[in-house]
Amino acid sequence: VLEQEFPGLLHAAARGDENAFERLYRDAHAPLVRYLRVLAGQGAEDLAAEVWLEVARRLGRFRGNEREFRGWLFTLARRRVIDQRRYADRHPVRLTDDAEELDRPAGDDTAAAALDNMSTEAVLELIATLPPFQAEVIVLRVIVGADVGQVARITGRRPGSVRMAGLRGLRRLAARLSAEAETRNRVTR
Amino acid sequence: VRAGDGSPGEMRHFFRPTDRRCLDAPTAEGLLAGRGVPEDSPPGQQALARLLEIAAGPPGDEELSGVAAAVAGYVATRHETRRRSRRRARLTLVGAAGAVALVGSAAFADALPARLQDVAHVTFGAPAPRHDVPRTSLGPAGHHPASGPGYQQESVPWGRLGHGQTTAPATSPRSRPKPTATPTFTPPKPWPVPRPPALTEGLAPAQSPATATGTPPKSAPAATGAG
Repeated sequence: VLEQEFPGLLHAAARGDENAFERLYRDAHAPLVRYLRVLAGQGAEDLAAEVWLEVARRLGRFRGNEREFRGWLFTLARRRVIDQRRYADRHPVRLTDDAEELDRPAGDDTAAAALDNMSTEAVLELIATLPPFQAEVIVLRVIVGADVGQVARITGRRPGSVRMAGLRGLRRLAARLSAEAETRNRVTR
Repeated sequence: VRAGDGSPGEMRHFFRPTDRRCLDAPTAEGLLAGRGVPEDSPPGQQALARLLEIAAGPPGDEELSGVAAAVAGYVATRHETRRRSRRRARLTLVGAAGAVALVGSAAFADALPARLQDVAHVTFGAPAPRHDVPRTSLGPAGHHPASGPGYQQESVPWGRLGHGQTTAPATSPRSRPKPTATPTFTPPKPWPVPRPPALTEGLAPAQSPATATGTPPKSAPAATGAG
């Protein structure tokens, strides 16, 4: 979070200062990629690059503080994800004849991996197993640091449904983690 | 008790995870806002808090490996944007200059509507509009074969345009000047049929006798024909 530095950096970046843009990028890129990884999976890096190009194009016209900048950034990212999903719907790709192989559920392996390794990747994979909106709300609130109102604006939902989605998502995650812990305890005894 | 012993509704009570109920709304809000959970909270919640903490952790080197590429993309985009805006500014300038030239030349040819011609006259010294002459769309006043002093234009409906005539008189009843003290001349009806275009082409309106003398032609009008 850049806080007081932000207005100066934004102004400089809008005028073409590469260093200022790099600071903005370093500050916001990791949450952006994590958000996209949960929503879009493998193509997160490519989508993030597209989002930054769009930011570079439109930075001169942006007016607002750091919070609003983040809201704008994640709104752009969300639109990219929606575009990508629409494109994927129009151009379905079949990698194998046996579609059931691809639809096999992940089981409890992701929760176990999250507990064992506790890496960011594993945690994001675990969050990505939640229903999409719940996962999105958790990422925006926890990783991006947005409050309920901001998340509601970014996602176009009501604050009440954002709150409920966050609560349900966390309960689901807690249930998965505790089920994993119980299984482990039983095996240990 | 086995899964097959009861209805799905009954079995749900037996297999409902207990931790799902433990996480109340304030605790969940605290977790989402990054405040964590108290130390005496159940293990499941502590694991959840740890998990969210990791998710919001500082970026790794891998995540920021694309900085150089992003900055390069930013620079390229900036150049492209600047070039486009320059091109747009140039086009705007050329367009504005063209419009000024067009209006200026029209003003000096006395081809603007009376009010605009007035403005042009006051602003940059274009010829003053001739208020005593009705204005047509065929060109400057006075150049029309039948626009000499004392001539009152007769409006012709579009459907009755004569052969070789390309446009209707632009004067509407509202814009028509008030009758002056000068006696007006009404041409005899029916107006003679204009000559075919092959014979009339190349004869400039200024060469018409009607323009020079201000009197109506005795024979059929040779120029574009007023109908």
